[in-house]
Amino acid sequence: MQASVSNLSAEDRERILTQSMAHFRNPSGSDLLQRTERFYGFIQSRAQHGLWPYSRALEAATGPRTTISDISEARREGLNFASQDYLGLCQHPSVIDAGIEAMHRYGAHSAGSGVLLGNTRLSLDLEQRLGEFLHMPHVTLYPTGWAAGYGAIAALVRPRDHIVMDYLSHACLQQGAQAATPQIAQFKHNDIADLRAKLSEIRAKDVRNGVMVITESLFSMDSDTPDVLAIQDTCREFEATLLVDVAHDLGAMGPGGGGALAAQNLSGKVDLVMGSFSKTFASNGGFLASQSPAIKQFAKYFGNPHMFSNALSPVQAAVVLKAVEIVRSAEGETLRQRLLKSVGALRQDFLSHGISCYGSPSPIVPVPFHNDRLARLCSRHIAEQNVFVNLVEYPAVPVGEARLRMQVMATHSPEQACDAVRRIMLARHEAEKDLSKWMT
Amino acid sequence: MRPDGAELFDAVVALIRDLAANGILPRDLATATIAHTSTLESLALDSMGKMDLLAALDERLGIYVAEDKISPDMKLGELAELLFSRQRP
Repeated sequence: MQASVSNLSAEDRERILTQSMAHFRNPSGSDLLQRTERFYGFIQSRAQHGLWPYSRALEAATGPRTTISDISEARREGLNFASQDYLGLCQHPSVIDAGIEAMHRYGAHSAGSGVLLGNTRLSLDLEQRLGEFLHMPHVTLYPTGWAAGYGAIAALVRPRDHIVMDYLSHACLQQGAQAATPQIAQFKHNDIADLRAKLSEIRAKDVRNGVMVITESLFSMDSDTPDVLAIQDTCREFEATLLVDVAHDLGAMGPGGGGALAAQNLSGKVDLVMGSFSKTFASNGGFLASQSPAIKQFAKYFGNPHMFSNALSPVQAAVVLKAVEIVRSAEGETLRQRLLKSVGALRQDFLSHGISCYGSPSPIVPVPFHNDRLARLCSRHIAEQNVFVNLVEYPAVPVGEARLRMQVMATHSPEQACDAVRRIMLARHEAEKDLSKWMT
Repeated sequence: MRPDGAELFDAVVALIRDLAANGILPRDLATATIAHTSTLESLALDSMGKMDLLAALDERLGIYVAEDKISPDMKLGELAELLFSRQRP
């Protein structure tokens, strides 16, 4: 049962519609436990009005349709555009069989770090197969994609070195950079000229130390891709090393599933590539890949998330290994074509309603609102329409640019995509009516 | 008694200096010259810095200002006036 808006003061209404999580990131006071209460109150006040679309749980297998529960334990069955299982492999019979077989053969647990006795034959095979797929034979595995981004940077960069990163880089990259060096510069999103200016400034003062340039092959809030060749060439000109995060596109896009790097004919030609298994490869886990066995060993022993975490479980390694095999097969090509067909239907249908989704076609479809209050209100009505999508708000995106991040899977049909658009437009209409009530 | 505009301006400056001294805002703001005409941009407050300032104003002075109500070119004097207008009766 949702609380009534009419009982709220104007200030409370404004808080519920505009306050962000960032508002609570630096609480003051001596009591570390008590000072969490204000944030908890914020969550509760939004939840009472059905405006907390986070921390929902699956009550059934993920798929184009599923059942979820929200934080008030309310259950809904509906269309799922909030899961990142881009080729739908988490339900693939061969993938499930591979996981079961690994469980029977090795048990449930890796029971050790990858630098001790945590590896299995499966994880070693995964390193090799992934290396072949990436045309970068030396692969280090990490327990999550986040750990791979953080660990790769923390392993290779020292405080005297420099980092120049796209300012929209993922949190794992930002935090890895902050852990590695205080000398961090950000370049404007996908702006080669600004990157060049930053590198030129650094090299004018420091030719002795390292520079790492960081970008992504598919940005997850905007669905856009940089000119990686131009970035790599710029790096070479200034003796900088390029790290590209391929988490969202590897396997799901590009020739042979090689992502934007393959589409730009850059497979195996970038200095360092890191990525995650959690989008297309049906499991947790991440990796760093390069052409050098020395980099692989250095990253294992000096990248703390690898050394001080347990290795991927046998089930995770087996699942990803099978997923890589499917991604590289004719079946993988068919799945990618199916995925792009539904992506196209979704974007085209929004366009027919006057909404131009950000970026270019990829499994991520960012739907703009240009009104953060409306987006927050709409999230409730979308759930009531039994469509599950992720609301992305400040600070994940700038103030005024809240959006829906829809994630499409090969298992969605174009008809389901169009049904979702129809329901979202109905929800938006309801939210517009709601907004006037909240703003009075 | 509610603080007037001048008192609120002084409170904002004191808060900026305190946040800077604690490493939440750029440390040089602890001693920098801060005037009524200083803009948030001139104080090198990025998006998160502005949010940290607004959150501290809310937590310590009990005055809430939404992030989308302020712009980088807003002067601190204007922010104090906005805070004055938004005090609870």
